[in-house]
Amino acid sequence: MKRFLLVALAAVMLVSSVACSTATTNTSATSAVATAATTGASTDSSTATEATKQDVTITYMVSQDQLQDAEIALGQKFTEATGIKVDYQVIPSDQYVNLLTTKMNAGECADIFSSQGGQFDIVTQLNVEKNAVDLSGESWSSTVDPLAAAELSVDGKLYGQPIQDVSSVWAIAYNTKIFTDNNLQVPTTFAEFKTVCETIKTAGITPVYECVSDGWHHVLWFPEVGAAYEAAEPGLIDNLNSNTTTFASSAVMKQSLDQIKEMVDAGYWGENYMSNAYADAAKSFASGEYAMVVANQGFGAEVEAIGTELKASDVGYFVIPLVDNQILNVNPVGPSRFIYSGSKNVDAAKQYLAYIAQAENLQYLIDNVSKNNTLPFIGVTDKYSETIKTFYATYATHGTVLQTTVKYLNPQWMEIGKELAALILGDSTSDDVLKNIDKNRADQATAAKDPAWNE
Amino acid sequence: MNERKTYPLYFVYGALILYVALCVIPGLIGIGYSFTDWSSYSDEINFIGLKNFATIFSPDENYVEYLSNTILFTLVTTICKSVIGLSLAVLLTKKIRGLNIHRAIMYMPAVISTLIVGMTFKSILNPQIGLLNESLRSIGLDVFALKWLTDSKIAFWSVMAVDIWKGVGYIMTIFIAGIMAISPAYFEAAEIDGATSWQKFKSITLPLLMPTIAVTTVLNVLYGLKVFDIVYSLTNGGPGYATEVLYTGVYKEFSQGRYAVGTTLSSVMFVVMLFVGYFMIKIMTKKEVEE
Amino acid sequence: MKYRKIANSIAVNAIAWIVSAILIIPLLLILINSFKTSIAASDMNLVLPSEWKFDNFLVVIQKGKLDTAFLNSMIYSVGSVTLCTFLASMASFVLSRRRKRSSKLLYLFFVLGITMPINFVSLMKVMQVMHLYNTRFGVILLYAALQMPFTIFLTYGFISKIPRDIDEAAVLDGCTPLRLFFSVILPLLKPVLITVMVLTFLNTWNEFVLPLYFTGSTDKWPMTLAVYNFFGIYFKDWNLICADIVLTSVPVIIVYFLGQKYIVSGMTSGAVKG
Repeated sequence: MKRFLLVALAAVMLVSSVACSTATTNTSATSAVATAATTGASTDSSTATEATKQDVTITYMVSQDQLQDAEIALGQKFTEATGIKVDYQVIPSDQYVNLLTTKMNAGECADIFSSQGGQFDIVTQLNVEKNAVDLSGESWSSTVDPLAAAELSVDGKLYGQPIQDVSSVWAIAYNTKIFTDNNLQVPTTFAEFKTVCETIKTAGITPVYECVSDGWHHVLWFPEVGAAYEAAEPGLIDNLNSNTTTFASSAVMKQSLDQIKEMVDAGYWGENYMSNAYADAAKSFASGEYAMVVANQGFGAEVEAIGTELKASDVGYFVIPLVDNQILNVNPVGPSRFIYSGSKNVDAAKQYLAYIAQAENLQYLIDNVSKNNTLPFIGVTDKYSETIKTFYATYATHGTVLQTTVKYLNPQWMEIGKELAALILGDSTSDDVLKNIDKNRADQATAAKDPAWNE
Repeated sequence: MNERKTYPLYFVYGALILYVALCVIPGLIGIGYSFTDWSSYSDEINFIGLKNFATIFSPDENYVEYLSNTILFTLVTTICKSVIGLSLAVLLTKKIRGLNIHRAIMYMPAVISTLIVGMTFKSILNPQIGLLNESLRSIGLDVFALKWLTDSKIAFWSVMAVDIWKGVGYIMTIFIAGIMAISPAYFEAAEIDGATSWQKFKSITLPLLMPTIAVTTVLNVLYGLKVFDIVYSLTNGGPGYATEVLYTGVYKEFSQGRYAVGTTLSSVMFVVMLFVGYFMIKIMTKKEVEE
Repeated sequence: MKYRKIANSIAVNAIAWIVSAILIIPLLLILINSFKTSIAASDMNLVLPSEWKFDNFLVVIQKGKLDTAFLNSMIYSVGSVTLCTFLASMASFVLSRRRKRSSKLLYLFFVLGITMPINFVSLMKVMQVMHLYNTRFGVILLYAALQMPFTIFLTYGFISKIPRDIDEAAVLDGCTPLRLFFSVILPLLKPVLITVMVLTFLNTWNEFVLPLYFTGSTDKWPMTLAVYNFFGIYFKDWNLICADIVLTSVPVIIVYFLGQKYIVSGMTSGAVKG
C-alpha cells in the first residue's frame, strides 16, 4: 500500500511537471497542444506571444445578444489599426452567469467580459471592486451619460462601459392601424386598458402578445411600473431596502399582480402565451394577429424589417397602465463591458474600450444596430423617430424601475417568472407570490451579510 | 497459476491515478463546500456545519417535490427505455431487410446533443405552430393537439417522452451487443426442440442477457437521478414548477449565487446515488456468480 | 405455416419502419430546414425548401470557424477515447480476474465514480494546480478521467465472458502479463471495445460544457461549442443553426457506421466463443 502511494505521488508529479513545461496558466497569451496522450507533447503555433504589443490577442466573453455584428466589424478595424486581435466568445444567456462567476471565482476570466450593470448588483453579484479594473481615468469615462455611469460605479469610481441603448424603456408597443380602425385611444388607466383589449378581442385580434416560455419577458409587467408603486405608497422603496416593510404588505403591489391575472383570465393574452417566444414577437406583431406587446423602442424597426406593410411609424408606444401608472419607466441599467482585474492584457483591453468609445464608432453602432436608438454617451446623434420622440414627450414624470431601485430583486428575475407563471395557471395566489419574493430577498440578504437583515 | 503475477496491479495504476486526480479529488473538495456558506455575495467562506442540510430538508423549500419528480422521471424512463430498447434490439437481430439502416436510424437520436434536441422539440411541440399539432390537425385528430409542454398536467410526461425518444437507441445498441454475444448454438438447439420465438426469448435470451440488463438499468437509473439537460432545454422546470427535478433545483441555486446550498443538494444526490449504485451492482455481481 | 411466416415477416418489417420513422422525423426536420432561407426556416416544418440554399453550409463553416473547431473536436474525442479505453480495459481485465476482495472494492470505487457530481470550481482549482487549465492536453485528460468509471463498468462485465482457460494456456506457453493482455485478450475484446469506443466517442463529441469552462480562448473550442457560439449571435436564424447542427452531427454518424460494420463482423466471425 505504501509503495503504491509513493508511486502514485511520483506519477502525479511527473504528469504535472510534464504538463508544466508545455503549458502555462496564462489564459490568453499562449497555448500549447498535445497530441493523443500516450506520446509526448508537441507545440503548435500559438495565437500570440506575451512580449510585443502588436501581437496580442484579447479575449472578450459576452452573453448572447450583447454582441452585435456591427461591433465585430469594428473589432476587425481595431485589429487593423493596432494589431491587437480580439477573440469574441459568445455564450448563450442561460450558461453565461454561471460561467462568468465560476471563472472569476477560480481566478481565471477573459480580458473583457460583459455583464448587467446596476449599482447594487455589480457589488453583490460581480464583486466588481475586486474583479474589475477602475476605468475612471479613461479618456472616454467622462462622456458616459451620468445616470448610466451612476449604475456602473461604486464610491464614485467607474467600472463599466455601457454596450446598449438604455434610453429605451419597456413600454407597450401597439399597432396604430388596429387602434384607428377600431376608434381606440391610448388608455391612461387600467380600466381604459381593459376596454381597449375587449374591443380588440371582439374584432378577432389577440390583444397582447406574451411569451411565458422564455421565462423573463412576462415578468416585466410587474417591476417596470415601480415608480407608480412609490407614488401610491411614498417611502416604499427606502423601506424595502432597509427591511422595514415587505412586498407582502404592499397593497398596490398585490393589486398589480391581481390585475395581471385579470388580464390573462379575460383572454387578453390569447391562447398561446405559455409557449410563445419573444424571438417571434416582431413576426407575430407584423402579421396583424396581435395588437400589442411589451417591447422597447427598437421594436418598430424590427417590425418594419419583417417586410409586411407595417412600417416603424405604424408602431406607437404607451406606458404599461397597471395600477393606472402614467410615469415613464426609466432604467439606466444595461449590459456593459468590464475589464477583468486579473487580466494580463489590461492595457490592450483599455485600448479596445477606448476605440469603441470614439465618437464615430459609437455613431456606427447606433446607425447599424437596429435596436440602438442612441447610446448613453455625450456627443452622439440619436436616431429617434417622430413616433418615439412623441412618446417620450407625452410623459412629464419619469421614474426608475423597481428592479434597479430595490435591492435583491433583479437576481431573482427568473424565479419571479416562475412564480408569475404559477399565479397565471392558478397554482398560486398573489399573496404567495409576494411572500416568496420577500423570502428570496431575505435569503440573498443574509448571504450578503446585509446589516438590515441581521437576525 | 499465480494470480498476482499474471494479473499485476500495475495495470490498474494508470486508470487509478487519472481517475483520482481529476475526478475523485475535485469531487470531494466540491462536496466539502456543502459545509460552508460559500456564495456570490461575499468573499469569505466560513464553515457552518450542517446548516445547509437543514435548509434543504426544511418544509419551506420545495425540494421534496423536486425529489418526487426526479424519482418519477427515473422510474418511467428506465422502464420504458429498457423495455422498448430490448424489444427493438430483439427485432433488429432477426432477419429483416435493411437491418443496418434501421439500426443506424434508431441510434441517431442519441447522436444529437441534448440541448439541440430540446430546441428542436420545443418547436415541434409548440401547440399552435408546431409540427406535431399541425400534423394531427391535418388528419382531423384535433382533439389530440394538446399543449404538450405548457399544460402542467402533461408537461412532465412530454419531457419524459422526449427523453425516451433520445435514449432508446443508445440502450438498444448495448442490448444488440449483448444479444450477439449469445452463442447461436443455444438457439439452434431450441429450434430443433420446436420452441416458439417467445419461448426462445424467455428461456435463452432473457437469462443470458441479465448482466447486460443490469448494466443498462444502472445506467438508466443514474442518468434519471442526474437528469438536467433535457428538462432544462425543454421547459426549464416549468410551467411554474411542474417539471422541476433535483438538478434544475441545483442550477437555480447556483444562478442566484447560493453556491453552498446548490452544492449541498448535489452532495445529497451523490449519497443517494452511491447507495442506489452500490446495491444494484451488488445484486448484479451476485446474479453473475449464480450463473 | 408458410403464411404465418410471411405475415410475421411483414409485421416485423412494418414495425421496424414505423419505429424508425418516429425516431427519424425530428432529425429530418433539422436536415430539411438547413437548406432553407431564414424566414422559411423559422416555421420549422417538413415542407421542402423552395430554393435549396447550399451556401448556408459555407456561411456556417466560415462564420462559425468550423474548420478549427472540427480539428479540436477530433483531438479531444479521439485522444480521450483512446486513452480512456486503453487504461480502462487494462484495469478492468486485472480487476475482474483477481479474486481478492481488494479488487472487488477497487472496482466498486471506480464504478461509483459515475455518481460523482462535477464541481466546476474545485475542478478548476485542481486543473490550475496541475497546470492543465486552458490546454488541449488538459481537456483530453479530463474527459478520459471522467469517462473512466463508465468505461470500466461496461468492459468489466464483458471480460468475464472470456474463459480463464485461455489465460492459463497462454501463461503455460510462457506469456508475460503484458503480452497476455495485448496479444491474446485484446483481440478477443475487440467487438466490445469498439462498441465502448463508439459510445464514449459520442459522449465526448457532444459534450461542450467542459471545454466551455476549462479553456480560455475560442481557438480551442470544439464543434459543439462553436455551435453554441454561433447560436449566441445568430439565434434567430434557424436555417443556419440547423446547418451547423447537421455539420456537427455528421462525424459521429460516420463513426457509428464504421463501428457498426466492425462490431457485426467481429461478432459473427465467432470472435467470442460461448
